[in-house]
Amino acid sequence: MHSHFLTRASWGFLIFLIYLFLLAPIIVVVIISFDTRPYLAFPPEHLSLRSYALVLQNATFVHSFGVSLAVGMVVAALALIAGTLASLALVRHQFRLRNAAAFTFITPLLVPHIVLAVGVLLALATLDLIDTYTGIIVAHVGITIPYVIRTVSMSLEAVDIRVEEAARVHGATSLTTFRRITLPLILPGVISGAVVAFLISFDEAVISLFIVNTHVRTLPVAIFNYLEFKTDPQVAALSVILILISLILVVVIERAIGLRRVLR
Amino acid sequence: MSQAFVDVRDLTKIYLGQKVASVDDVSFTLEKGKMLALLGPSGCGKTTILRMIAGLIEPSSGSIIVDGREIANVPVHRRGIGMVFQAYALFPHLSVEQNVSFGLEMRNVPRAEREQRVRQALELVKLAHLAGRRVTQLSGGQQQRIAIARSLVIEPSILLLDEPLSNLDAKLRDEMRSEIREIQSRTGTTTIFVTHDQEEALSMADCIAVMSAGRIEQIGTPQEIYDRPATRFVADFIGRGNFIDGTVVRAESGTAMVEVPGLGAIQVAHSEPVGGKVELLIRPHRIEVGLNLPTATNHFRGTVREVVYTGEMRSLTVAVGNLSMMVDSPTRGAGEIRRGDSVGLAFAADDVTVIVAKSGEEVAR
Amino acid sequence: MSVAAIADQAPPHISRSDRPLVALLLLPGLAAIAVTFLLPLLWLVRISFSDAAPGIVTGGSGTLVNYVKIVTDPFYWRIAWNTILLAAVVCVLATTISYPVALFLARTNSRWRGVLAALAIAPLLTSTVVRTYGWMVILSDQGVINGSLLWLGIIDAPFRLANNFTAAVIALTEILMPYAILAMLSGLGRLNSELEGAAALLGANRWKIFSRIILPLSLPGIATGALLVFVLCISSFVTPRLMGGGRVFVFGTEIYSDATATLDWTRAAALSILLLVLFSCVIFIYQRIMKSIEL
Repeated sequence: MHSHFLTRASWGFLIFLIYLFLLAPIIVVVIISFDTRPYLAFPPEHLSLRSYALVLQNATFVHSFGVSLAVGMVVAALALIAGTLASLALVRHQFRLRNAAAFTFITPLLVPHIVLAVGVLLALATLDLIDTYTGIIVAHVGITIPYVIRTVSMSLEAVDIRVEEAARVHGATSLTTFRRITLPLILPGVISGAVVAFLISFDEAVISLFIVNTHVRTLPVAIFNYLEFKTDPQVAALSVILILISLILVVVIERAIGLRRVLR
Repeated sequence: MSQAFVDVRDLTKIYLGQKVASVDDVSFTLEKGKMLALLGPSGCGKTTILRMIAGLIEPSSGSIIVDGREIANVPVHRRGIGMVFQAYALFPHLSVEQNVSFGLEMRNVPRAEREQRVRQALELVKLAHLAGRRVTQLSGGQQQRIAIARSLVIEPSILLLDEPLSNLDAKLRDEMRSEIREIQSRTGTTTIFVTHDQEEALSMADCIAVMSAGRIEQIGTPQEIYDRPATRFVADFIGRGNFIDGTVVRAESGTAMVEVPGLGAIQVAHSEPVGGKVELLIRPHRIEVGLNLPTATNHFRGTVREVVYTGEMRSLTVAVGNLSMMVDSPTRGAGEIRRGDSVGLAFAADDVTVIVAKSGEEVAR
Repeated sequence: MSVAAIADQAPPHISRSDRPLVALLLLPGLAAIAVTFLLPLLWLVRISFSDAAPGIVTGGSGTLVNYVKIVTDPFYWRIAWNTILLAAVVCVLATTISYPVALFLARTNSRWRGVLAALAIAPLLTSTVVRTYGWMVILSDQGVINGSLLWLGIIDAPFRLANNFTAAVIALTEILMPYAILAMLSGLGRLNSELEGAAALLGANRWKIFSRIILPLSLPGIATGALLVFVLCISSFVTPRLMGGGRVFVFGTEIYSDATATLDWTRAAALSILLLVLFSCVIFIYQRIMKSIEL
């Protein structure tokens, strides 16, 4: 009996340590954000919100935050529309090339982002869209659509098609059925899809670093460039803000449709 | 009286934070080679008892003695008890053969002996030809039989079955019912099984313990449970019945008259204190019905309100006096009875069971 | 992957097939995928075989010169070795550390199970840059580890924990663990507590239950997790670049500098294709292994 307790306690302690490792960078970043020294050091000397103030005054960061926000929202909207329409086709209709179409929509997930980054860079170069809003939006839409399709399809599958059929029997057109019956029922999937698309675009660093730099600068790009040359708690404060935003949005997704199912 | 092989005493389980016990001071014994059914609705504690015997749940108090040995403190893997889980719990990554031989491997039985015993066990459940298959490819009935073979091959002191028939479709259920019975009597393994299905219990078990809310309402043979239910709960749970309240107006040795308001007097075959309130149970199939008045100790006249044909039988709902009684009558040769017909009902004093008190109290006569 | 599962869905979701409508519904999505994915890949292949001038995509002719230059240069063999070594080490570490967590989450009945699972996976939705920054803080000369050790008087001078291969390994391990945990959790779905109970009743002690039942059933999930970490690692560049201090050269960092600094796009393209080939080989090997485990 005693040895049983001991093994369970040490087991629990091991798990605790692993979780500590897993969350270490985030915890540290939060702590550092309340520091004031201009270099990376630990433990923090005084606790203050000065870094946060500095961040909010930092023109580069504020500007790129706005850029990321705008890009993210546009990407989310576009991916949502394209993804929802595609989901409708894939889930509600039977057609010969369905498997091929479904597979096509997964392919962006199968290729490493860096390979994609170079390809997008080249493609945008030919269209003269490097370092433009259009370029980065287009790039991000492609990689977020698969996630939107996943969440919306999950919601769609959960809706019994007979509910839609009942609507039609009672006189609703396809469009009305979608608007009044289907859409409200798949709202969790739609919301999650939009939020996931936004988050992915907002946090996306790899592809962005290849295709934008001076004219258009998203936040991850700004931070990366900053970190290449110096490090100070401003970045920490900024990171905390980003983490909080992600956290809130993640809670939204979890409430709407469940986090695990989205990511795998 | 042969000595009890399984002796459970004052077994109790109260979960942390709960006020009410899931298993409340339960005691029972089981003779070697016999089969006991723990029967009751879901939540009555029957599965908890099974798992405590297996060692998967720790009792709050009480003792479990198997073959003279107290096992409540013995770790699960040393109890030598066989168990067939409700979802069979076959190891998906092992073949049929490997599943069945698992227990023998744990006991370091040498290879040659292992192979022979595995073969015998598979032959016992008539699945020797599937030895090399992956268990995920088997049907539900086959999986169950493999699970049984796996538990029996280790020659357990007792075999536990958790709702053995509930996952099977109707036809398979009948088949497995007799198979389990046959295997059990052939191997002579002392067996306890848990079920919520009274038909299952009545047809398979040597002995039934009817449970409700953590306690045993009654233990007895299927016959005893059915004919002489001790409490209203047991009577209600097993079979269908007509429950009638009345007052004892006359009593002699071995017999009594019970006055039922709105019906009349019913004679029963036991003596009861005069003036006492009793509840009577009359099983629907023990009432004789006919267009003419049949002769018997207790007879009444009534009007047929409803007739339900089930092929071999008619279930009638008859309005008698102020009461409504269920009567099951075989269709064979009995002539047609229709709604609205005036019929005579008759039953002997012996056909009436007196339930003296509400659930949980006195045993009936 | 559940998106693939859509393709296997049978009725009741099917309604009448309506070709024009379906085509219309799929059009925006397919167009987006074509532009952001198929087109770039085509260009990638094309440019990799081109000898166009730096920073230009036109004017080149089909040639193998890029590949030849890479393959004959020992520098790039060194890069390949670094990349694979880094990925292998991270893979082993991440898989080993993730397994206990995945096992714990799959078997626990605690009320906090959902929260703990989310906690393990949610870091994925924060930016890699942010998490890498966190590691820079932890491992730097005045960072958390060195700072605490100095403060406690255990060491006199800071350990060189940052700006090297080790730093990249540590950071990448932590950053990629959630992927491994996710994969293992899916794989552990087959495990249920009844199996452990059944094994115990058949005489297996805790070690035997683990080695004979739990571990074999976890293998597919572990393999998938390992694969995921490995392929994500060979393609990574943000973390190696920030953590490596200019000393860690992997495919990712080389491609980045070629593409954005020296504008040697043809070489960047060729390197990307080679990376893709490596990537496909790994997946191919993985599928062969999975087939032979055959569950």
